[in-house]
Amino acid sequence: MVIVVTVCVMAAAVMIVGETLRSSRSDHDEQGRYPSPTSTRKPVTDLRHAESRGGMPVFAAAMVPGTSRKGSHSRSLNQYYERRAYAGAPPAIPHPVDSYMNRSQRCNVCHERGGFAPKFNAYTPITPHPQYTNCLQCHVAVTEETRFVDTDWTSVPAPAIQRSALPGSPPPIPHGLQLRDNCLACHAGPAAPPKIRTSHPERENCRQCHVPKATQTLFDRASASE
Amino acid sequence: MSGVSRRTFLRMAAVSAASAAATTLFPGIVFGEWVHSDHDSSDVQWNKTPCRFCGVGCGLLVGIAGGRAVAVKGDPDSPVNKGLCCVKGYHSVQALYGKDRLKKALVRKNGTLVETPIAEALDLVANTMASTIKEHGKDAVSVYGSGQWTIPDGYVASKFLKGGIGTNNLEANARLCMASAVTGFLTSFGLDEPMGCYEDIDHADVFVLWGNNMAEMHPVLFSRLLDRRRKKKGVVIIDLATRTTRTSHAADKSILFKPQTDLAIANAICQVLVENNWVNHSFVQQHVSFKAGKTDIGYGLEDDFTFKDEARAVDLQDFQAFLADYTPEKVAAYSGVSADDIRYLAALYGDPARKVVSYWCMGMNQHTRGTWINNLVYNIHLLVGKISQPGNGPFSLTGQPSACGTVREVGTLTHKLPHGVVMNEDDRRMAAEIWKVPFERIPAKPTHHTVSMFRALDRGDIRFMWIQVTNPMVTMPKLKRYRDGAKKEGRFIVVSDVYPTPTTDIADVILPSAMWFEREGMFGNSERRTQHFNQLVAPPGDAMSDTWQLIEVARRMGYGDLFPWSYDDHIREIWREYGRFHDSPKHAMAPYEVLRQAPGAIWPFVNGRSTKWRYNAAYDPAASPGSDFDFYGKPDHRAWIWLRPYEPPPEIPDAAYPFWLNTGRVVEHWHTGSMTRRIPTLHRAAPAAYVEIHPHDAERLGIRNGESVRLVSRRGEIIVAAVLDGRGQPTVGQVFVPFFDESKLINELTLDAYCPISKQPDYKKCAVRVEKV
Repeated sequence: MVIVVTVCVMAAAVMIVGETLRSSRSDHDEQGRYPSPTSTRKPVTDLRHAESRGGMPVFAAAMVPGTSRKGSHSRSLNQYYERRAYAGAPPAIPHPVDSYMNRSQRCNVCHERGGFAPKFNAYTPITPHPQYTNCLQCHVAVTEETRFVDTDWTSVPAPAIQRSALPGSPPPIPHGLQLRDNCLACHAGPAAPPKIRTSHPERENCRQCHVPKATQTLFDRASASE
Repeated sequence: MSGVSRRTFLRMAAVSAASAAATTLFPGIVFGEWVHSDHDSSDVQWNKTPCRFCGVGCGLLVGIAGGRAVAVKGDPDSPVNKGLCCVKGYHSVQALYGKDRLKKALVRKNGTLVETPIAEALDLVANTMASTIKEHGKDAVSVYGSGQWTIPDGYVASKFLKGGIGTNNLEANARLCMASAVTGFLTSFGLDEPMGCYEDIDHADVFVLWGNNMAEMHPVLFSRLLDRRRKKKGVVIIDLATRTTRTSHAADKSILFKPQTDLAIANAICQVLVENNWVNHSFVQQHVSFKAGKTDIGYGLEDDFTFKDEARAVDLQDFQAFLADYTPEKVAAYSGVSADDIRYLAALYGDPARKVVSYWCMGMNQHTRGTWINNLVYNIHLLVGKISQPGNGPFSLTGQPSACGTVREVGTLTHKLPHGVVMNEDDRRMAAEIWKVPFERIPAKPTHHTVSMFRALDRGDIRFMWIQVTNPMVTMPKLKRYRDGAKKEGRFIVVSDVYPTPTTDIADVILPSAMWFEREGMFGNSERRTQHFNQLVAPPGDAMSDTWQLIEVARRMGYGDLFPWSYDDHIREIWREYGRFHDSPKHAMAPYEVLRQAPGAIWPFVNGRSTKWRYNAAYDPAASPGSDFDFYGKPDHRAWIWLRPYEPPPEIPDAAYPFWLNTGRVVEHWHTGSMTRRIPTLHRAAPAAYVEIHPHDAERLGIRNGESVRLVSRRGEIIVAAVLDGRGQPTVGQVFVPFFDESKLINELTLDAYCPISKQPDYKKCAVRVEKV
């Protein structure tokens, strides 16, 4: 049922997308990576030109998924991971960073509390660590989609979710908690990917029930006493 | 077409929509940014290592699965970064996996580089080195390394060159980044490296950043500064710089000064301290001597330039008379800093209730008076006695992961030995004894510092150069002369590296190197912390550690008895042998077994403890008991205040070349970008170099944002895109270009003038003009 609704909503878009997908495929190798050598396009140093052409920056339209105030769909877990080089890596910034932001780093004005950002037609993801304010130390913009040289980088898939030990029991935390100990930042609110959104955000003492899955090793009494 | 092209937009839209649609159709399948390996997250094993990049020396935990690095976390146990990294650190392991990684040796045959078995390439290197020595003498061969050398790399290079061959033709690129810090420490304190440590941040009330864009260049430490300010009321950060940066915006106060006038500002601060009697007299009387050196000391622009400073004893009255030229009003007239701001800075340093730390890096070191400005900042701290105590002290930051550990501590410079200098007979005797070589073999006379070494290569005095872990064909100032020199007939260049660079382009032999944790090693960071890393993954193809490459060549040349170790134990054995050079409470190194376990240890490591504050008897076992402070580096057990005047730089903007050119880094890229540009996230964020121009200058010249401009100096020119509203903004009359981009070589323009004492070039000041293309 969900699929049908989504397809209907996206019907017009899919027609266009299908066409562009075919035309853009040639730019990728079989893994979907960009080819080497890199494009000779000029770097995007001033995104305001893009903005001034038609209100919404094209960059943002492309990079920020279709989270809308009216629509029911938010950014997916895939889109969440697309911004990262591996599970747990600091995400890149999917929207333009204007010159004021680039110097002042006032990212927390939006990202500390979240909320709807009309400029990007999207809900603002909330940072789990607003105490850090040198934001661009870890999170950097995407000024162009090129590679200097192609890469052989691979990483393990993101940890599987919903691995409850018993039917209906609280699932363990499959990821590290470093810089991410505010669970609600990513697991609650409209910017949270629905797949990892909690059904009970009003219960704030998350780790009362959800505990980190720290080891794969079975407890062995003999070796434990050594 | 500016901005994102339509094609890119459609492509990105398609990728987004396609993955969204695919997820809907195939729930459970995750299409991430990365290619999935055959292992899953439960296979990941975490191992400690220091970061590969800057001199901060963050502790990382690298996730290994299936013999490959797959993820990074900050090491929460590391006292350096306490679990936080920067974007380079988080993506650092991707630097191992660029597609064009050098995996086989390449030898130039009839003009083209041909893949060659590694043993054959090593034979050729050894044979050429031997034949060059036979034909042209020992001083015709040289090794040029780097502050990215591990400690064992540098130690083996020193033993091979100085103890084996018997030449002092050993230098490292730290000469281009840290030499003024070294001579600053030696002239003021008699011993190299900071007295304090990063823990000072947790105690200080005031941070003064001297020409140091810490928010981008030492971001993890800068975050610690911000954290301190967040937690303690009244903590202030002062950014004292020549351009406005992210650091200026985050600071409580940004003070802009004209290039080179930092010399005058530091003296003016001392003038105010003395005039207002804010001097800590008991500290000065007990612990400080006053010295004057030579003035009008030149800039090293001539091939035959030499300079030797002489210290003349003076006193506080002489110092006071010297400072009369540096009243805030007089200095305000040419520094661009108001007299009020100078008095404000002096009041911060002079307030006995506030603890003050000064930080600096390349702004002060890459300076034709680099040693002097280091001395002058020490003067301020010594006058008020704010030194060698938690939260009080001058702190020289470094740019490379082991500039301190390898180049400064092992001493991979022409005049240095692992302990002391070649000029000192006792130091030579110590080296000869530990190395078991004839004492006469170690030459007593230094040969070439870095700029001089490349000039000698150009002239033909040096015929063979082996370059390891650095990229001088991007980083040398006045680059064309040194590139042309290296390419001359009859020069043989060996380059050990992990990727093709402009330096491998001029090589006769390229040796593929094992990188970072593809081998075992140690780095030493800015706070005297030595950090060990294990081999965590196998190097690709024939790649071999720089340590082992040097040993292989040395053995082929008949110096095998100097390197009797097996591959399995050589790092441990090198560490033990090297430790004998520093076997005293002034410099004792932590044992190998401790380093393997601990997240680093700070030397002097005495009785199982790191020494966090040197020269302070409460913390430093080498300080004489019963004293409060003991500056034991100098024969008089005092720190020296130097009378160092303002002198102008060698090249100043004029009618033909009206702009100052400043060069530097960006947070995304490290050094020449040969590693970081191969990391997709970092390249996408900062794909190419640019020139920052003040909007007023741009308007006057009719230059629009993003337009290409030509930058021209008396030495060369490049074409580069103008940025009017970038992350940094130079003052009117100044431009800034980062140096990471090998296709926009800003060092074609820079000047090879250097500090006559440290021999470190100034990359921050020369004159250029800006032309519309």
